[in-house]
Amino acid sequence: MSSEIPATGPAAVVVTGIGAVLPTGRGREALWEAWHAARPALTPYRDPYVRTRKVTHFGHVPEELERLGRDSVPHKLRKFGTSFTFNAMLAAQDALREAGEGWQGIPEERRGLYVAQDDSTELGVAAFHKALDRSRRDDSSQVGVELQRVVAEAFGNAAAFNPFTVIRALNNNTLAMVSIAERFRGDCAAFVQDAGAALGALQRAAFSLRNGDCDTALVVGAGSYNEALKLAGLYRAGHLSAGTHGSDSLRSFDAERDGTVLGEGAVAVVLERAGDALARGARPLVEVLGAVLRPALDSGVGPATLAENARGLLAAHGLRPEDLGAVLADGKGTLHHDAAEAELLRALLKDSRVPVSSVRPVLGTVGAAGPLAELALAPSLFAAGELPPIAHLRTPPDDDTDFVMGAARKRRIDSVLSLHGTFSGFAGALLAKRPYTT
Amino acid sequence: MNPHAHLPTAAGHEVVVTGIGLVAGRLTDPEALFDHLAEGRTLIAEHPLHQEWGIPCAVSAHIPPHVWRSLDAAVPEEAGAQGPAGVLAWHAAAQAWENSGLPRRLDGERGGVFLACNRMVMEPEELTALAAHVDHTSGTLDLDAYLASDGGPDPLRHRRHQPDSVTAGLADHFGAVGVMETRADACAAGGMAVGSAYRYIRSGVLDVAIAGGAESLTTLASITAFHAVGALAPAGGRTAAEISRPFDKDRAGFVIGDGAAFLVLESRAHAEARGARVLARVAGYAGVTEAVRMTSSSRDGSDYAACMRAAIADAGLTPDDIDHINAHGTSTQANDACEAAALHAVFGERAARLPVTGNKSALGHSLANSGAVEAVLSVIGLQRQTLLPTLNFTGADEDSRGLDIVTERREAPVNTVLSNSFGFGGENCSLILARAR
Repeated sequence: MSSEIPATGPAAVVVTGIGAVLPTGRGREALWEAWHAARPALTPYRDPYVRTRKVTHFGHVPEELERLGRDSVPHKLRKFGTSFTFNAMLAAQDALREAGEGWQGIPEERRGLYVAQDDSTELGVAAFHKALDRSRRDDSSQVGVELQRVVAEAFGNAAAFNPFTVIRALNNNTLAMVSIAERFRGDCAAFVQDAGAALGALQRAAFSLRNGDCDTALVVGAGSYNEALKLAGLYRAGHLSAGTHGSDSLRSFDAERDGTVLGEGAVAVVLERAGDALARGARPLVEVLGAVLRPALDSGVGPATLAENARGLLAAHGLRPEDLGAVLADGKGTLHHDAAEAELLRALLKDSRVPVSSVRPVLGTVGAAGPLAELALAPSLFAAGELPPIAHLRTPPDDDTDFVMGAARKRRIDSVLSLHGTFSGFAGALLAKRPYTT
Repeated sequence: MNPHAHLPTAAGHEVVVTGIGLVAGRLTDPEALFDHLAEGRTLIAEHPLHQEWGIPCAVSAHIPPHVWRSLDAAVPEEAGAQGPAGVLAWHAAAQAWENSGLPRRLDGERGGVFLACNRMVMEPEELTALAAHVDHTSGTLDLDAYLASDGGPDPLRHRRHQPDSVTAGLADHFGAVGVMETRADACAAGGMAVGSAYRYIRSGVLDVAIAGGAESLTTLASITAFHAVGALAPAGGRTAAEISRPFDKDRAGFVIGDGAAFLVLESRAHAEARGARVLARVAGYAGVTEAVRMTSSSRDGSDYAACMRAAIADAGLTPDDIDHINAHGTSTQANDACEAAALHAVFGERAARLPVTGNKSALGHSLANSGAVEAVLSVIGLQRQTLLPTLNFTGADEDSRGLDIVTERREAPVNTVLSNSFGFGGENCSLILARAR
């Protein structure tokens, strides 16, 4: 045990259960193995409704796992959900199972639920297909000159629209489904969008535990970028890779990077106060020290300020950058995001020789599940004592930062800082450490 | 922010309201809206374009085009590209901030932004552009052709449509970056955003927060979607102004509305140190899941009642201390029945003497914004010692019998208001607002 790392006190917030349904498969071990083997889970894009060669690859949750997700949902609730809420339900069930039988003894009214649901919350194009189809089959003379009116009229026909669309499209759909299926009747909060929402949900969950608003907190991050208008918007914004390198196209920090590869999935973590967890016989997996979230707009704060914010987060817990065991960079693979993050890393870690890796080339950009996926990797980092490399990285942006390339780096790891950026103008960091309890 | 470094040491800091701002229909400030409603007037009107298209439920509390244009023009350049809800949010938030007298920007990490906004959905123009690229033989969309067309999305579409980009912009603008939440708790989100801000200030993590909601869902897509699930009221031969009728025996659904509303919350110590004018207090909050059903609550009102009791207890009060109910009151059969049952359960015989107002009778239901705008109206009601009317209440049914539904502007001593918001998916929220002291 590192003497610099303080013991985990009874009020500390710890993770006692983790569930993951990701492109890498089910569970945190599958994610770790894929990362450790530098084996990307990014596959050619497929969707029965969308034809495209511009969006080449995607981090799809495997079909068999999607079926398991659907099967995990009580039959009466299925009509209200979507594939990504089903993924979230399975992840939540796995997390609660790992938290142990004693978790069920926590009163329903003391179970807090904090859910980050990302971009998939927008109504999907496919929901409008019948209306669009009808508008095309309208042979009235006004079609073409008044297509908008025709679409509107067709759309207004209730028969062209699934009656549960509004329930599926609401941004608290995942929270509602999980609360009903798993009997959460306590404090709650539904957040949007992507990684910023997940950090917000984690912050709020930790706050609520420390504030006494709940005795356990389930944090869920879930979503999917697989919706035609979202893909189109992000493509037009220049964020997506052209796919030149096939499944290896997400090249975090590499000189050949040309964009990110989007994905989908869900991660759920059970948080508790360490004293409560130990009292009921649960095993703390990770201690969550804190998170920082900042606006990082083009007109706003830059990488140097964000580095100071991360430094402040560390200092609040008696840590300096050089004390870190590892940094997990976001590494989206876009020109803009990675350049800014590389500058942030230089400012934060200069002369520290703390190794930096990223799971992004293996997992893809998965939105609200992202920060929770990095948190899910922490127990494996602590146990394995090695930091897997950034897959496909050949030419890093500079020599000032110790990017892990090639082989995994052997190293005792007691603390992990993960970095996150969003397409909506946020940047953030999450700090976790090995739990030391007696 | 570091949520772990500050947490509570005692009963907590008193939380006061020092600024309010809003947009509702053609009205763009809170006092004007209160006066409008006090006179028994509505914001619900026929939507000319929706009526022309023949879509169902073509009435709404929408923002008229000339108001949109003026609001859009007033958004500062630094806000960048904004979607409709973002435009509304910027106006209401800036107005509330100015109303509070706070400096243009805060320093440090003691301020926060809490925005409720469900989402921004595609407009008919986008559907029209997509329609041209649907292959009806294969039943697929040719995304590449759409991208290559003139009607494809612009590079800023993604950011413009994300609610949290508004949060980031407001936090950057006001220097309020200590805690930033973008909440999407369906119809309870606005109240929950205010409640979350209250908790962070009460605990001592924050000194200042701007909290509220913004929603722009009087669109083709959302009206059709809510109609499909049976939530919207049919006209049924009534004028637009008569359709939304919370707790009335003839209620038949809600009318959708647009709007934004924000409150500036501060710890009393922070407000007094700068000599701020205190408008009201936020005294209690509960925001819970009920885990019953996706679209409705327990018919006996027990889950709504539990939420109300929790908020009252959080404020250190008893039901006898509540002077006014700002009801969720959507005007749907099921919701109003559950809320009425809950009011009877919590307040017992006193329910007959406890005035109840349903603002959605005149404002429509602006979903994520509704709890925020109702909180703003409650603050003014506390200041003026005036209760707003529930329009169109002509008689009770079995559910609402025995409640004192306020039907005309009423002067009354009011020290505490219980404001409810209940969302699809079983998210319930109750706020306790109290008179300034």
